[in-house]
Formats: sequence, C-alpha cells, structure tokens
Amino acid sequence: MGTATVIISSGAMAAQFLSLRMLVTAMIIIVAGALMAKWEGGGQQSTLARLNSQIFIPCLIFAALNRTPLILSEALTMGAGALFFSLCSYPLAHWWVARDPEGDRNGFISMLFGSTSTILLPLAYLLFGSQGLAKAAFFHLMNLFLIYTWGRWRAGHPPQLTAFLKTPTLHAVLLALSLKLFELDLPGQLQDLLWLVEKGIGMMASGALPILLISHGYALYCLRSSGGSWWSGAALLRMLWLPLVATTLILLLRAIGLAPLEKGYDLMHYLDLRTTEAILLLASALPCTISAFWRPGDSPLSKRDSSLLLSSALLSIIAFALLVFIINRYIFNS
Amino acid sequence: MIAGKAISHAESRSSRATAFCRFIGLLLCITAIQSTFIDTAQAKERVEIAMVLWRGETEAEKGFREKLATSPDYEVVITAFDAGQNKEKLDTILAGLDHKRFRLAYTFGTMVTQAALQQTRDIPIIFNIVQRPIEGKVAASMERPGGRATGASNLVPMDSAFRTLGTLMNIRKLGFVYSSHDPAPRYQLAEIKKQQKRFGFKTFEFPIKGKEGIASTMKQVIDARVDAVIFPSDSFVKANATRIIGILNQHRIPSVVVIPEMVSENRALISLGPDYRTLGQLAADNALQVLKGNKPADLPVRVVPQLSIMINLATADRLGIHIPLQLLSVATVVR
Amino acid sequence: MFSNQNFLIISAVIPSFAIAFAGFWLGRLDTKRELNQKSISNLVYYFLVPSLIFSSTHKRAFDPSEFSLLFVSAIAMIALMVPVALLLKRRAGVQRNGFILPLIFMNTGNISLPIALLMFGNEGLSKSIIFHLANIFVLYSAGVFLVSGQTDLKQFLKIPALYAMIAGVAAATLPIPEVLKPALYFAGKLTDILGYGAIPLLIVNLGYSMSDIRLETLKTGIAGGMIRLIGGPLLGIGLVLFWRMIGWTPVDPTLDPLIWLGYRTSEAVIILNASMPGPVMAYLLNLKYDNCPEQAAAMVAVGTLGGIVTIPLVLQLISTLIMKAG
Repeated sequence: MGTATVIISSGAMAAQFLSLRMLVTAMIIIVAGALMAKWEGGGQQSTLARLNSQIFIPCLIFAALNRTPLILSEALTMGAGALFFSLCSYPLAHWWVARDPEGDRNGFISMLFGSTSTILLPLAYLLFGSQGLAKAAFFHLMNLFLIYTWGRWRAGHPPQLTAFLKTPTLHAVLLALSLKLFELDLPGQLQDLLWLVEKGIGMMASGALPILLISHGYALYCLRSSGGSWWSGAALLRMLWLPLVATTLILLLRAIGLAPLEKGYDLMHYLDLRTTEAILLLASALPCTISAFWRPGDSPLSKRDSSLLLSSALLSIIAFALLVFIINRYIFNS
Repeated sequence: MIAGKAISHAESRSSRATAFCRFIGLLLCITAIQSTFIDTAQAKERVEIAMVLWRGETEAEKGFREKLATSPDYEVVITAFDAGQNKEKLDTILAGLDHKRFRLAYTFGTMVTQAALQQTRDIPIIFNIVQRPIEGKVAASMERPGGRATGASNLVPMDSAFRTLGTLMNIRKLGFVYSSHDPAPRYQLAEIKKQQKRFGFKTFEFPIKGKEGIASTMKQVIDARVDAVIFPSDSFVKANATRIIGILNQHRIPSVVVIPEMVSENRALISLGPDYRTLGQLAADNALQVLKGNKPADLPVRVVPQLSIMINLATADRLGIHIPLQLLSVATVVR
Repeated sequence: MFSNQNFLIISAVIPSFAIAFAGFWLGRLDTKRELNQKSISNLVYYFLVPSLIFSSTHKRAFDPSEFSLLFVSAIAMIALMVPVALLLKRRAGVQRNGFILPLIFMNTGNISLPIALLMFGNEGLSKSIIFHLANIFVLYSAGVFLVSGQTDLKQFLKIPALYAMIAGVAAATLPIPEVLKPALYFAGKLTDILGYGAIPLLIVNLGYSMSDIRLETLKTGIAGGMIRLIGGPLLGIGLVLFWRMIGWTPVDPTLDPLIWLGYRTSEAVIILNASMPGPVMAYLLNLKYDNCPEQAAAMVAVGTLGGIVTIPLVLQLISTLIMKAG
C-alpha cells in the first residue's frame, strides 16, 4: 500500500468537483472536434452524423436501457418533459421566425428542440451513469419524434413519420424494451451468447461518448465558418427561459406526488426520482439542435440561424456549470 | 402592662420564628447528608466485559465502547482478547475466560461467536458482525434468538446492494472470493445466488486455501474474466486485502466489499454494508439490556436497514469507472 | 454445446467481427460513399489511439523487460516475414516493393486490440498496445520508405502515438509533483473517455473498407493473404519458443502463478498479433503512393476474411499450448 494520505469525506462534497471536472473534460473533447474540423476544412459533418445515427447512438441507448430496470412512469415523465419543453419554447420560436427577414421557417426547429443526441446523451451518462442515460434516451426519443413530425410541419415541410419509424434509435429502444418485458429465460450457453452480443454492443456504446462530443465540436466549427457569430439575444432568452420551465415542471411533479421528497426505506428509488429531475434540468440547458438530419433538402443555414446555434452552444456551457451546481446542492441533497 | 405583654408577644414570636428557622435549617442539613449517602449508594455499577476479537479492534468495537461509556448506570471495564486470527489462541482465550469476573462476553464474527458458545458456559454473549446468525446457529431467529447470545448482525440487504451496483457497472460474471476455512461466507454466497436471476448474472466461486493459495486463486479469477469480484465479511480476506485487491486493481477488475476499511485502507472500489460503528452501538444497546437483567434469548438481533456506501475515488479513476453523481450524494468517499 | 474454453474464444472473436460486419453493412448501404474514411482515420490516428495508449500506459507500472520483449518481438516478426514476402514477390513477378507491405506488417489495431482485451483482459490489451506501437512505428518509417522510396524521419517524429507512449510511461514511472497531480488525473479522465472510441471506430473502419472490395479482385490476394495467416502464427510460435530458450519468458513451474501468467500473456499477445492479417493502413499507404494498391487491397481483404477462421484456431492453440502449459 502507498503512503499517500487518505482523505475520507462526504461524497456530496466530492460531487461538485467531480461533476465540474467531467464538464470540463466534455468541453475539451468538443473543442477537439472543432480543431479536427478546422484541420480538415470542415465538410465531413455528414460522415460523423451518419456514424452517430446509424451505429453509435442506437448502441449507446440499447446498452443503457438493457442495464437499467424499466420504470414506465419514469419513461413517460421524460417523454412528457420533452413535449412540455417544446411547447413552452413555442412562443419564443414563433417570435424568432416572425422576425426572420427571409421568412425562413426552419428556425422553428432550432428554437423548439435541443441537441439531445450530441450533448444530452453523453453528459447524462458521464454525470449520472446508465440510470441517467436511460432517462435521457426517452427524452431524446420524444425529441426526435417531435422533430420529425411537429417540427417539420411548423417549418413548412411534410412530416416524416415513416422516416422516424425507420430510425435505428427507435429500433434500439424497442429491442431493449422487448428484452426487458419478455425476460427470456435462456438455457446455459444461449444466455451467455446473448450476454456476448450485449458485450459487443457495450463496446460500441463506450465508443459513442467521445464520438458524439467530437461531432458536436465539429458542427460548431462548421457553423462558425459559415459566418455565424457568438452572440444572439434569442439564444440568451431561450437559455434563461427553459431552466425556469424545467424548475416549474419539477415543482409540479413534486406537488402532484409523482416525485415525492421523502427518502423512505428505499434509497435507490429516491435517487431514481432525483435523477429524473436532474436530467430534466440538464435538458433545459441544451443548446439548439445542430443535427444535420433535420435540415430538409440540404438547405444552407442562414447567418442568423448559425449565430443562434453558436450562441446557444456557448451559453449552454455556462448554464451546465450552474445547473450541475444546483443539481448537486438542491436536488440530490434536498 | 399591655406594652409589656406586647413586647413579650413579640419576643415570643421572634423566638418561635428563630426556632422554626433553625429547625428548617437542621432539616435541610439532614436531607443534604442523607442525599449524599443516597448518591453514593446509587453510584455506577462497575462491570467487566470480555471482548474476544479475531483481528484486533475495528470501528465496530469503537462504537461499542462509545455507547457503553455513555451509560449512566454502569461503569464498564472492557478487557480485549485478540486471537490474532489464530484458532488455537482463540481456544486458549475462551478456555481461560473467568466467568466470575466478566458479566458478559463480546464476540466479533461468526467463527468467534460459535467457538464462544461451544467453549463457555452460562456467560451471556453479545455478538457483532455476524452476517447470518440463524444459519450460523448462534440465534434461533432474529426476533427471538433463544439461548444466551444476542447482538448485532451486519446483514447486507442484497437486493439493495445489487441495485446500487447496477448504477455503477454491468455485471454478468461475478467472482466470489473467500477463505475456505470460514463458514460464514457460504451463507453470504447463498444470498448472492438468490439475486442471480433477478439481476441477470452468474456467480463463480474462488475459495482461497491459506496465504500460499492467494496467488493461484487470483490467477483463476483473472482467467475467468469476471466483471467484478465481491468479498464477503471474511477476516482472512481482510487481513490479506492489500495483496488481493492490489492484484485485482492491477488487472482492472472492480472489487466490491462489505467491510468499509477495505475501501479506505486496501483500495477496494466500493463497500456496501452497514456502518460498523452503528452496529457496535446497537450491540452495546443489547449489552446494556442484558446487564439490566434481560435475557439475551428475548432481545432481538439488531440490524442496520440502510446500506452505507463508501467509494474509493482513486480506485475508480484507475479502473476507468465513472461514479454517478446520485451515488456520490449518498456515499462517503476516500481520496 | 461448446466447452468453456471454446466459448471463451468465440466470445473474444465474435464481437470484433460482428462490429466489422456492421461497418461492412454500413458501407454497402452507403452507395454514394458519403462516409469519409480519411476523416475517420484522422480522428482515430490523431485523437483516439494516442488517448488509448496514454490511458493504458499511465496507470500501469512500467516494466522495461516486458516493454522490450513486446517491442522487440514486433520488430522481429516484421523482419522475419521480409524474406518470405520477398520470395512471394519474386514468384509473382512483381517489381514494386509496395507488394510486401501487407505481408510483413500486421493488423495489430483493428482486430487484435479488442480480441486481446476480451481474451486476455486489460493486461492483454496493455501488452497488445505495446506490440501495436512497435508495428506502427516501423510501418510509418520503414513502411513509408518501402512504398514511396522517400526517407523522411520527420514523419516518424510526427506520430502522435509516440508522444502518447512517452507521456504515459513518464507518468507511470517518474515522481509526479503534488501540484501536477490534479492535471494528471484530469488528463487521465480525458484520455479514458477518448480512448473508448478507438477500438469501435477502428473495427467499423475496417469493415467499411472491406465493403467495396469486389470478389473477383480477391483472387490476386489469396496467396499473400494465406501466407500472412499461416506463416504469421508459425513464425510467432517459433519466436516464442526462442524467447523461452534464451530465458526471456521462463516457464519454471515454481514461479509465482501471477508472474507466470504475465509471461504467458506476453507470449499469447505475440502469437495473436503475429497471426493477424495485413493492416488496412498498409493498403491506404499503397493507395496514397500508387504502389500495388489492388494487390494490397486483395491481400488485406483475403487475410481479414480468412482471419474469421484462422484466428479462433490460433486462440485455441494459445489456450492449449501457452496458457495451460507449465
């Protein structure tokens, strides 16, 4: 044994430092993605987006859902949360689009939805483990559904429900839920084979974390190089508004008894409820979605929209740091 | 005449008042003297307790001593006998225990408790850190132990333990490393196996036969490619934990323990078990009840329902394991 | 159904090939070739593999004899294959040296790393990384010279993995001042996360590369691919026996079981890597310098496909002869 001094302290105190360390780590990986884009001259965003959507995100979500016990109420809460955030963002989105000098309605999608794939999923895992990631997965799925349907319709394009039904992410969720619900009791080596498949998917899931963050950074560089600026008043308004919405939702859930504060006998259940609240709060600070896929017909982003996305990405860094402090101080230690 | 009579009345009243005051004062003095005698008569009763240990004092014994020191009724003198993990020495200690001197015996662990029950007569036994008192045949039931032993059990609610572990890692193959000489781990293994189906894992047993068997057993653990290793409350493993857990850490295999010191002293990843100090205090509660005249047979075995979690952050970093914030918020950490 | 040992082998091999197949399937669906392999290669080469190397080395006590054994073994394996490759080149009537690249170098990254991890644990992965490092150093120096005719030592010094290894070994061996320890822990965490992406992306990239190989072109690579797959493990076993003979990997049964296991794992890693097919990077270098790219592609493809059969057999051999002996 080494001779280093052993310090024993409360985990709650260590949590602040560790969560900040994790956020800084994530930011550095995002910057690495931006650097990679700079060296390559950008233009390969679709490569990363394709890898993410076809392989890494489905594996990540499947691995998380497979490891975590399924609680239907939690899944519904997260889905409802995503819908609630989008609905509350609508007035802001309407105002944003109405002020667009070119009448571009694609801004609806930017304002209504957050970057759940490239930011929420990796951060949820890094901060809250598989439990947090499983909840974020349901939030992401609802987000995706709304983008493909309501978002596209508001942006003046036909909804693509069929395309949504074909997304690998949805298939991964359904597969994981089926395995959980049917609880196959396989004999000996068949069970081992299933676990083997799970192991392979787990390897891919681990790989997803840095790739998603790098993709985010890559996309940010592309936005910057397309003329976007770092300041947008609308992004600031959105960043101030959504955390308030999230706080209201959390208080509402507590008031109606869906997220009681009593610790009771089952500490893990208590922590599970608090994790739901933490994910909702984290999701409220997401930057506007920068996914390439929702851009119908490869239409280029306007400078106005680019600035909105860039600015929201920058503000989200500050927001995440503050919210993680609040989560540690007021949610997990309430 | 009247004045004289008045003066006489006044003098009479004054003298009566003085007498009354003197009487009251005397009464108070007598009361004070009597109460001094009474206090002396009600001074703490001095009792001696034999503390029979397997591997020296732990946090459990500290809790036991602390609680007994606060007793208003007893001045407890504890004499510790450490077997130093030596069975022959334990037998010698128990054979030489003066039943007239010690009002009761405190025993640590299943093996010591079983030996004490076999080799002593009449002396009440307060056991501590006995995970499975019923299976270990030291108590008939948790509510009514029956016999002359009662105490505190470090029973780990396995369901809660595995749900906690599930937030940290995905375990499909779990190694169970224990000393083949200790009977207690068998019961803990049975409890773990009950969770297999629910949490979807298989358990692989790795008994260690003495110090010279550690290297070969750890080689088997590494060959088996387990996802994590769990250790029961096992004194032999604790005594050799630095070496055993060092090997696991070198091969990046997470170690799960129930003894918190194995996290702070031996760099295990996580401990999931009741707080030892609290257990010591609970055992002391039972001890005090026995001293007051209650029968050990009627005193329920005490348990701590909530898991106490301790995590070694340096080990977590080394193993590449992210500790979720929600788990940190309820854990004690070691850096 | 299978014995435990066979099942362990299958469980070590299947995930890698399954993920490679996923990459292959992705390539087949990507008819417009929108996925830019250069982008992925850059990501892996500049960020992910160096992170994996640092993450693996800085937490492990540095053992100079183990490092030397694996490093020298990799170079020896390359050197031993050169005469065999030159012989095949002469028989095939090929003039250009690019032909021998997929023969003498091994795919020590895409396939070997995950198999080493699953079969031999984290120790196996760490040792395999050292072997891989030696392989890529020689590939990017002597390999580039062979295929381009240019000697450019500056290229060698630009390999990110080199600095990652130096930094990792330094962090593991040198006393770190207290003031720098938080920075080291931070760097460790950062590289842990980045390193996760290395293995999956390496395998996906491999599968994707294979997706546009035509079956007709495979014929030209059969001889080379087979020589790589059969000659490699034979030379590897020979090398291990030689190391045993000179005492570099003792088999004394009285050795501490864990030390014994360490030596056997090193031997296993040497044979495993020796049995690997030619690397995709060799093909990419051939393509870059237009030096026998078709033959290189065919040899790599045949080797990779053939590896599905030969690698489990080699692992079986390793389990029986190496890990259980002594």
